[in-house]
Amino acid sequence: MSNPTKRLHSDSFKEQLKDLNGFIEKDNEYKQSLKDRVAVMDESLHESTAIAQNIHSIKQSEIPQSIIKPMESGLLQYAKDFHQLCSEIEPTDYTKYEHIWNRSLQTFIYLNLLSNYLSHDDIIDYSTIKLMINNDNHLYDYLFALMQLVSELTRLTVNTVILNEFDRPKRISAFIKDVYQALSQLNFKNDALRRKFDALKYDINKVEGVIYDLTLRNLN
Amino acid sequence: MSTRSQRINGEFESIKHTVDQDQDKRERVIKASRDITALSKRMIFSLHRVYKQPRIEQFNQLSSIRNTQLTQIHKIWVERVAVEFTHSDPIQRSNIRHSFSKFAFAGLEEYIEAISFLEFLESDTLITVDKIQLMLSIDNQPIVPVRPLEYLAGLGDLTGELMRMAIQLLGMADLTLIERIVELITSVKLVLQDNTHHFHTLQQKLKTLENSLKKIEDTRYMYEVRRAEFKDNPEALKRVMEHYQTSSEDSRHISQSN
Repeated sequence: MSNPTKRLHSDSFKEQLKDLNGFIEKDNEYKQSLKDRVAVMDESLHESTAIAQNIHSIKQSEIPQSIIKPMESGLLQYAKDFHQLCSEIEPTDYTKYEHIWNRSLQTFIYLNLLSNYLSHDDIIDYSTIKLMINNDNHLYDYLFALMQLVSELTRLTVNTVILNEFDRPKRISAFIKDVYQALSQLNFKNDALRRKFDALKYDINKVEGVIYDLTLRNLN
Repeated sequence: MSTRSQRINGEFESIKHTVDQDQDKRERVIKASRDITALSKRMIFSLHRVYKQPRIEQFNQLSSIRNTQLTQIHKIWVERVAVEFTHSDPIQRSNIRHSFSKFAFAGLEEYIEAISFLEFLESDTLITVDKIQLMLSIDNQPIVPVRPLEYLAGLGDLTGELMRMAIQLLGMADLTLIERIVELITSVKLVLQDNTHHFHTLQQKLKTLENSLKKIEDTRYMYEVRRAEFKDNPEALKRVMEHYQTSSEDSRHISQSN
């Protein structure tokens, strides 16, 4: 190490990589700050998710005032927080960080789909979701949320029978089939969405089983 | 068919169109990425043939590799990757780039390995992220983002090539070059160590790197022992070293084919 130029050289390797460390550190701090924010935003979703769980144990007549209404404020708060978050991110950086709130947004879309189904017996189409979140980057999250809705309604079918509301399964089944048929048009690649979709056919089967049981006994 | 069903199906027509288009784009990017990987590997093999040549030869061969093989790789970046990410609206463009460039990251990693190896042989320097980003840009617009993760992964792989180079050079080049290689590997080791908790995929690279360092040390140890042993017979020393180097190359091919 007696040669001074050589030492300068070797320092430059380390120096150079140190700069990179600084950059990585800063980027990570920013990501962490976004994660923390999403965690706070999620709190209003947790509340709505908990309320939504009650669909399995209450009569249809109580749904508007026990589910739909109470869920509203949490969803509105989330939408507000989400717009605020988006307004603070460089539009050109949005996709770079979207994985941080992908899941959270999926839940938000799902809860909206559920609430809309309960009040209108219909889906919210993607163009409406796009307007709602003011963003066109979440088609796949929308599809994921739709599949989640189908799974949840499958569970609901069983539970409506437990509640002795024998007229509901048929309507739920018709809705699920409409959604499933639409989803079947799509060519999914081999990923999580595809696996989720493949699992839906068991849900459809299960609902059909319920309808069969009821029809057999003249219960619907 | 119910009206609801018809309406939903109608809405899904356009979703289907988008999903199919995304799929095709993804396929094309993956294919381009594979070709970039293959050509980068080939370029690395060519580079391994260079440093044993006389100095003046090296210069010619390196610039020939730059002009032919590297140019060919850049052509793929421009003609098959960049075109997938074009859009008149800058926000849309960056959205597409961010969503789809991950399918080219495998190729990017191999490319970084090749280009950093070339840079080291040409000018004895470690290529920077900024320089790579500049090479992978058109009119200052990045083709794909060169992120620290792929950069570090590429450098991790580079150290494996440098290890092979060091072993091949032992006994023929002056030791300063080998020491230089060890310095570079050690620097990369430090930065990988600093970042494995952020990027878990770097763990494996770090392990391989540590093995490479050990391999160089073991080889140098063996060389020094043999050198002392054959100090009166340089011809015999040369033969012993050549034998060792070919056998280590053989084992490399075996381990690659596994």
